[in-house]
Amino acid sequence: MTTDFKKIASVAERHFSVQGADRTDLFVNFLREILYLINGEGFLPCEVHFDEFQPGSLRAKIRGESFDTGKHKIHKEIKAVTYHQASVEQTRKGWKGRVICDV
Amino acid sequence: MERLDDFRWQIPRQGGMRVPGILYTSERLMRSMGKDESPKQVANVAHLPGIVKYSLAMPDMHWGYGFPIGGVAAFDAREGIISPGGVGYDINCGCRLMTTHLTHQDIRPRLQDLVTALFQHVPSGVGSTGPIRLKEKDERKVLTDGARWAVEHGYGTVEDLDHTEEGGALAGADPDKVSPRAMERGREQLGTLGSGNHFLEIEVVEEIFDPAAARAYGLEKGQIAIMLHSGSRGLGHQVCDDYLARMVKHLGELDVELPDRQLACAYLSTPRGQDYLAAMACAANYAWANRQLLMHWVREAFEKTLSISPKMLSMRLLYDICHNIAKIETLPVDGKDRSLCVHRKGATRALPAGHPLVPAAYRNIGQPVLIPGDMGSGSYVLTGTTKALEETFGSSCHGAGRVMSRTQATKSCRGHSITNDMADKGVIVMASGRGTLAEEIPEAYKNLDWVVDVVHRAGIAKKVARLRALGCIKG
Repeated sequence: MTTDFKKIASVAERHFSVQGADRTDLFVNFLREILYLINGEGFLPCEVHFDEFQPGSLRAKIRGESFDTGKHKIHKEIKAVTYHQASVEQTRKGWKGRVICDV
Repeated sequence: MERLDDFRWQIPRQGGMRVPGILYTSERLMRSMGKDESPKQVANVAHLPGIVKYSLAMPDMHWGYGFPIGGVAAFDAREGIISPGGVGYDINCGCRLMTTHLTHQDIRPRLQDLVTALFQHVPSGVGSTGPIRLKEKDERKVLTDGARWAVEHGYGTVEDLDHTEEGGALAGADPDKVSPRAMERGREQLGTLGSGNHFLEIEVVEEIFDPAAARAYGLEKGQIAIMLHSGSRGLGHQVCDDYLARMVKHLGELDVELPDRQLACAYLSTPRGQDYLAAMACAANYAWANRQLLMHWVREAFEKTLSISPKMLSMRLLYDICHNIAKIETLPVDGKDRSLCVHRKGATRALPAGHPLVPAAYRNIGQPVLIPGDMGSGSYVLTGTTKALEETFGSSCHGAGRVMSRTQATKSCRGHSITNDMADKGVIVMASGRGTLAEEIPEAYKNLDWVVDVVHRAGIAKKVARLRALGCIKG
């Protein structure tokens, strides 16, 4: 995250759906939506709930609050979530995703 | 890799590569690159359909997302592709060099005041917004008219446009191809420097290598100039992101196995390729308008701080050049002119004397090539050459190029003050965030002199002048 996670209050909600050609694509597209909430709408997320989760689509409920200059400090700007060497794989413990962000 | 001559190494064609790769570099730069994967990325780019002659890398090359930074690749305009990843997220990130009538002597006692004034006058930093609030109608004009929009609204002069690559506006920009998200992000950020490696630097001309070219460019020893490095902000990032996702989604239609999704592309002849070209032109134009506005505020900050008239300051634009772009250009290939889509990602255009696209005032000399260094190390001004036109699709390098990742750089300078380190070197630095400063320490970059030495000696650009940094504003 680009800011102190503990300082984000769970007071507002956003919903979105994303699709992906495969799990990796879905994973990248999900993170792209999250990043747009931050960079485009000034909404800082702190909780994610999935209302629907399929291999090629998902519906997410994001809780958090609007960016407040007095309260939140942005340490680093993430410009984009890239597809570069992105991967999602199943491990013994669950799923492991790897993604590289442009900062 | 095979060595071709003193400054060129070839990656021979193998596997799915359609053409070889060629790196412009030197032994010492190769050593400093360590395990950097950019040569592999140069080879990856050679897989893309319609690539002409070779996949090139300039001496400032380093690892990028998909395409390497410092990469140049030209694709046939009819049969080739266009790739958002070959342009980069910061569409038309570029440099603008402004000269003044001031000398180092004139400003020496007021340098701190000038740096402070610039810091206060020019919006910078993460998430910064500018003083301009655009209505959607105006934003569309910015996207089609670029720097001209700024000049028409009182920010600068028509001469500034003559000294801007493409006159400050790429043709074919269509705002309807820009998503509402990108439009939204662009509305508040026009006239902001941004963060990361973007900067504004007060510099002094320290050394002249080519007196005739320097005279034509209006440069003389001891003179004060200002280098500006910025791009298309959130709007450009969003355009790249939107189109990359669209192209990844339709990768199957391309009928080509790509080594990396980030290389996703579309044939120029398809609506998807054309739409990206039109949207990318919008972002490029936004960046030119942005730099034109920033220049205006730099001019104001100098005039106010020094209480001098515009005439006494005589700030003029030497040149504005982009280094993240894809453009349709007519260039010679084996002696014959061809229409190509030239991708320059961390590379600049470098046209020779006599070329019609070189501004009239410089036509006998060649197009100015602006190469900023890392924080505090100053910049070079070079001029384009015929050899660049023949060998590198009229291209040269764009900067020093990273050798350390941003994280490595931050780790390496824990516990000491970067501002003090820079002050010891005689450079006053002001930054919005300490984090950015740490990421941009000089040690994180290749030696600028070494990089410029390669392009100069390889003949793809010729040294005109070197400028030393005096004061720097970082986002």
